[in-house]
Amino acid sequence: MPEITEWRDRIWRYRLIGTKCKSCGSTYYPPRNGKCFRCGGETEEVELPRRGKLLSYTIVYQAPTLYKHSSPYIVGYIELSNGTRLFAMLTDIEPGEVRVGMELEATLRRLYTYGDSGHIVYGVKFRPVVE
Amino acid sequence: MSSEIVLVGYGLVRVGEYWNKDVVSIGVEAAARALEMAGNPSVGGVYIGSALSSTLGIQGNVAVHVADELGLGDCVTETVSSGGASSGLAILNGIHQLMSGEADYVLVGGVEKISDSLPSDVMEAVLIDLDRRVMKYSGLTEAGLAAILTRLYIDKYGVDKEKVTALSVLDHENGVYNPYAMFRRAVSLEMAMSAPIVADPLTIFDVAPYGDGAAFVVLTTKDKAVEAGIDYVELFGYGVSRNRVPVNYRDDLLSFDATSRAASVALDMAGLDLSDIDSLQIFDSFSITGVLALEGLGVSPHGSGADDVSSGKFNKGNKPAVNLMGGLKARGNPIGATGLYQVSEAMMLIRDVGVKYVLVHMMSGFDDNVVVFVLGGGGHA
Ligand SMILES: [Zn+2]
Repeated sequence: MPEITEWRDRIWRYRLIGTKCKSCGSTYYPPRNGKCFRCGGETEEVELPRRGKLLSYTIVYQAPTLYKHSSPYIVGYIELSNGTRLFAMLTDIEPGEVRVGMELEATLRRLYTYGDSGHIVYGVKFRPVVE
Repeated sequence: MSSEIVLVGYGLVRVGEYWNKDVVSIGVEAAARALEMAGNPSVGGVYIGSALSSTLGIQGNVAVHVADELGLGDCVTETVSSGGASSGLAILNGIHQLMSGEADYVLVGGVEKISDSLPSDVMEAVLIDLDRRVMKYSGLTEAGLAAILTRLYIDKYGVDKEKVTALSVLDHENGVYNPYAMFRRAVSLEMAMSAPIVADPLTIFDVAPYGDGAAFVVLTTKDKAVEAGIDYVELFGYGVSRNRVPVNYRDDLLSFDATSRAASVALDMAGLDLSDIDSLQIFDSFSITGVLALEGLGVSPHGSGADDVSSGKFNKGNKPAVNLMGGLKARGNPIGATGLYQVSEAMMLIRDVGVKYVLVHMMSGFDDNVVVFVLGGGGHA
């Protein structure tokens, strides 16, 4: 049952929860509950800031099966305001409008639907900040 | 190295699409050639790297099936899977068995069957080697990640994308001379840049093509090879390293630290400096990963790899020359077998072209699991 994994990951995926090292303060998203990759310290879960800026991106034309319907789509490499870096899909923006350095914010969106069960999977995407 | 390991035979099938043969058949074909070149010794172990055979439901336990069809007697039979490092780990297992004294000869190989699966299934099988959650919930693909790295590289160093893609052009130029290469034709930079886009800004020419493949090598000790009167190439050193930080958590996506460590361990063991190396076989699964490998190995400073490639610094005739047999772009990338193509090609370069020292670099993912070998010398009985 592949849907089990989506269910297990739902809380951190909806709420943008990561882990933070109690020793050096490094943060990780998605959360990894083992030792800190940088200093070996213990980690704890934290809710991450929902604003960040775009460091790099790609427009995916050859998509995996689950995302075939959305291709081409934009995946960003994003640095949140506390320095956490993550990969997430961009939304509410056209490929030609994407600029490295632009301000983004997290928003809960539909990611994909399982064909057989019709099960809809939601998660965080990032959209441009409109001041 | 405590006991001197040598390579005494190789066998390959040309990388491509084998519609009428299964993974075991192409494996047996390549393995039989390697064994024949080695004088058909009795082997104490068969170690086969295959990244996707099990994941794609092609064939599990490939090493057992290949050994059975070769008609081998009792021996250790093991299938190894770690993406593009699979072949390297198979070789290491063989080395360890030889060094333990448990075997006099081992057969090591890599097999992959891509054309039996849908391209989208292959893509998904490859990307779950990275953090499943990251890839699945972001829609990122392996090529997409390489594209993000390419854009970071271009922005950080102010380099034109053409200079990164120049590595694919170099591969195609050299691949013309490799009888086992998937593509044996030169391409212009213009053609490579204007080809269909896979993941912006990467075109199909920035992405090494997957293909079916099987490559095998027979290993033994120098003493045994001399005793048997067979030609050999020496394995002077090897190194293994992990990046230690999964790619999605790294501070610097452009720094291939595991590549640096594995190479320096291998060179130390060989008693050589990087400047002694005549030829590099780098794992350029994408043009950008090839450039970052060159920088990780230390032949180009950070930010200069693409400049160096595009200025012709690594062309044939120079030291070091890079991917003289076409690299992953022109030879093709039968993922778990690719490393054994690289090693077999190194044997060809040493035996047939007279190259003195070859460094072979292979890895899974993006500097995730890296294996480096230093080969050279050799002798005739
Ligand atoms: Zn820490």
